[in-house]
Amino acid sequence: MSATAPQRHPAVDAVFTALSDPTRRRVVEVLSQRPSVTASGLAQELPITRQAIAKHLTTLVDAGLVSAAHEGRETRYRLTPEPLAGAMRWMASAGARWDQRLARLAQRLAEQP
Amino acid sequence: MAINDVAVRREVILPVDRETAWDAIADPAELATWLASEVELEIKAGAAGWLRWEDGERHPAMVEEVVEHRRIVLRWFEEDGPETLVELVLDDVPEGTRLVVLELPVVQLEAVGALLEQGPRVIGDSSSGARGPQMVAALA
Repeated sequence: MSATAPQRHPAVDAVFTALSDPTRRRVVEVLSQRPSVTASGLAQELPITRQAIAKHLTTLVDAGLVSAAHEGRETRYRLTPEPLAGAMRWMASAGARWDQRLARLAQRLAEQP
Repeated sequence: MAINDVAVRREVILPVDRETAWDAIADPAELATWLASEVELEIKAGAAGWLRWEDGERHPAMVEEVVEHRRIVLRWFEEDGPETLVELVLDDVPEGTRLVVLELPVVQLEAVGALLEQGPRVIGDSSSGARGPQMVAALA
């Protein structure tokens, strides 16, 4: 092992963790289609229990992807997509790096006799 | 917004046989011609070393898995990014060899269910052609 401590990026990691679950991706999708929803509203649209929805919402709130606002007796959740930008930025730059690397590789192998 | 697609996937057809393509991805001296500017990493399961990128800095890297002439899984860290797993898979195609690259954040796999604990996968018949990278299957 290298002595260098791996540089983790908690914010980006949290976003990727949040998005690693198909149900949470569905929750994000639903949230992206309307201004705000309640946990009960989500439970009606998705085939999982309200308790499970609540857990997923907590993970999304922790990752900064969703905000919770108490309005009267209910809590309304809305998408706060800013943290996605970091994850998307990483994907775009990682993709661009691979495009360059693979172009170099293909060129090198094409040049071989 | 492609939130279903949290892995980077690329593929390229190399106009060489699989053995030649393997040398290009498994020989550190060859890797230094296209992957990074300097490669101090033996392509052997469990090996640890570093890669020097264009930014001039050394980045720690590890070899998670090697299936001779077929598949390499690396784990590395880039600045401003998550810790990622990188899978390189070779397949025979009529034009030569297809290299499929998949890079995805380690947290993805940890959350999906500890792919790495499954140990090396048995690589099936290469003529099937339908086999994609194993990590993609794990994420499905």
